[in-house]
Amino acid sequence: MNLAITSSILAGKLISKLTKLGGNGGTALPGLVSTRLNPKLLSYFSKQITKSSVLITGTNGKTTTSRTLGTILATNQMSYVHNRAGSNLLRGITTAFLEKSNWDGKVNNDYGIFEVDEFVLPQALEQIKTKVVVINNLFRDQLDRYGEIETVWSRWDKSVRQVDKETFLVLNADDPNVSFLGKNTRAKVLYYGIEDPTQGSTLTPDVLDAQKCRECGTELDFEVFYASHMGVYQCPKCHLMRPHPHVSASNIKISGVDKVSFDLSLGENTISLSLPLGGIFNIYNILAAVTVAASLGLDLKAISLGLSKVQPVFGRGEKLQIDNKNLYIALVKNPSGFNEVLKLLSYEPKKKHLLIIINDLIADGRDVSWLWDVDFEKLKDTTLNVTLSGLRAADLALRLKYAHLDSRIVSPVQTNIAEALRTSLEKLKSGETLYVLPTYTAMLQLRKELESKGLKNFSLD
Amino acid sequence: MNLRIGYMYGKTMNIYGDRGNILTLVNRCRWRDIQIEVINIEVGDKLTAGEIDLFFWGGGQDREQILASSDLKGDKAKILRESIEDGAALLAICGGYQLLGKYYKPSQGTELDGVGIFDAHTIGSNKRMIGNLVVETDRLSGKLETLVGFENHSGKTHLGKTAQSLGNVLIGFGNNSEDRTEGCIYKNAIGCYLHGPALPKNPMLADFLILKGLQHKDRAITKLKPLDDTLELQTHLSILERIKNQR
Repeated sequence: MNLAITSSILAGKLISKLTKLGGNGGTALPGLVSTRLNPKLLSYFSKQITKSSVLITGTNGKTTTSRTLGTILATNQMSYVHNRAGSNLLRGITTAFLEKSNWDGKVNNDYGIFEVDEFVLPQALEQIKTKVVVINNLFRDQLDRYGEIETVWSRWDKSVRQVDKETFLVLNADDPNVSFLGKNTRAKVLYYGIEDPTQGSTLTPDVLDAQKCRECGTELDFEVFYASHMGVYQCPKCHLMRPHPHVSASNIKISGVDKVSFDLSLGENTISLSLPLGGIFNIYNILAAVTVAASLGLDLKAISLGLSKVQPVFGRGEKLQIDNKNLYIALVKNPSGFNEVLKLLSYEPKKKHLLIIINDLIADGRDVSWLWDVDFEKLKDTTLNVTLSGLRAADLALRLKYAHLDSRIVSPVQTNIAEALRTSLEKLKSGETLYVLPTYTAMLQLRKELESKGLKNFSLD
Repeated sequence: MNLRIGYMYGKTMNIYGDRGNILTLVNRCRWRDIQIEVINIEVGDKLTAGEIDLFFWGGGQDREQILASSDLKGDKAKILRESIEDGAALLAICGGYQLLGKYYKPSQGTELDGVGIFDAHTIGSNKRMIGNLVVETDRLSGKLETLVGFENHSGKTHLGKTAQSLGNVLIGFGNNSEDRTEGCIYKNAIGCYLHGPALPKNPMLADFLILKGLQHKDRAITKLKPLDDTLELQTHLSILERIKNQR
């Protein structure tokens, strides 16, 4: 090991310790500084992974998919490095290594699980020797960063054309943009998907991010939509079909925001599962994790043992208790995810107390136009009251007016998150639930606020 | 009396919450008991002369612009031009705006024909102009007012000699990031780069379009029933405030 590597690791580890002492999560800074000192550091670390590194990308579900995979591996005594603290840029992955390595830069892990920002996939593939690439889905999201959805897709397309034939490419069969990536690659392609038309809708959603056949440009025929543009489709002209999934879910029952059961099929084998997660999106996340686990050689028994330990991730459908009242927190960051959360809430029959928090910092996306692609009209008859908070609460108030929510159930805007949390909790009777829907940075602020209230029983990093 | 709103290529050119503009037009008419009808005009659909009082056309990606440009040839483009000459109102944002000029030359690929309503052309650049956009205009009511929104485009639009801009850029890039102009207005047709979406938080722009659309039906109509725009104007102001704080 050369001096450049030693000093960059020292610097990174010191910063990591210092930021932790200061009470900051500091998920990117150590990696950022060490990489500045030595650009090859990530590559140096990742070469030490003895078995396989897995890269997980896509608009929605990166975190839940990674955590689920982590749980499966951990249950089966397989050790791994994971950038679970949140930063999914290369510096965040480097930070994860810095924290796992000893002071001379040795990493003793068999596997790597890396959440990768959609834009960063090509660079991640260059620097990390990768065995499995997972692509979950592609929706409009943070267009102020990415420009166009198509820009993201082209980057992915270029990436999958470059991976070698030993690599597994795990793709969502139900997303036409994603499944098409399996056509032009040497990798071993594994598809996952849902096989349960009773869970889908035949109504075309108002906003679709995949309508045209990637082969010939004709409008696709959808037999069923499971969530946004994910569904069962084919091209009426060139007969491009949704690929048959190797791993699938059928016989799905969603009974509430945190209860789902389904039959999981892996090749010829099927098992029944019951999980404390909600909604179609999470079923996709589970299927993705299962497909990766299978590609790493685990059998269904080992996988189901791991799945029995799965819990929701903080802010992604986790339930907490505070003074005899319940909090349900579900991250909302783009229209497809938000619509899915609204659909999920409709599985709870009672009228609800809501707190929606919209920020417009860089990690949220600077632009809030997307609020107009969310079907807030659904909340009209299912809401007891809603409190609006965050830097762009006013935009949301206006959106709700045009969604015809009665102004009597919409509390005045309260930009300050701590205040909004306090007043909306005050409206609850003991035993009732407050459903909190924050954007990304709002979720982090909320977490700080809950920690300061002494709430410690949630799955912090 | 029915106000007929033509929603151009809404299925594909809706990338940026632009359907919020349709929701706004529809609601602001309903709150005033103005009967409306939204007519979707997609690729392959025919356009009938005089049928539409108010057109809306949102933004889309290059791929969708190519399809729209080749659909808007011959009669369809001619009827659209004649409708505007005849006083119909129109709002086109970003991708739609670019195709209503003379031509759009993307940074990759071939030049796309425009409808030619605006004396303007757009050239793709490799710089993306992304951020909050605040415009000052006196073209709507005669008095100076601000319009707020969010822009995200790489095309630079240059206005020709006879073109009139919608207004001046106070914050942001506008048409081309060079001459501080934003948008274009010709008769009752407006093209601009204001996503956000534009109409909910700029109710004066929404009402300008609705009034002009109604006048296309009946010239005797001179004003609209006022609405309670407290929330709309509060949001408008809160965005101006937020943008100031971000800078």
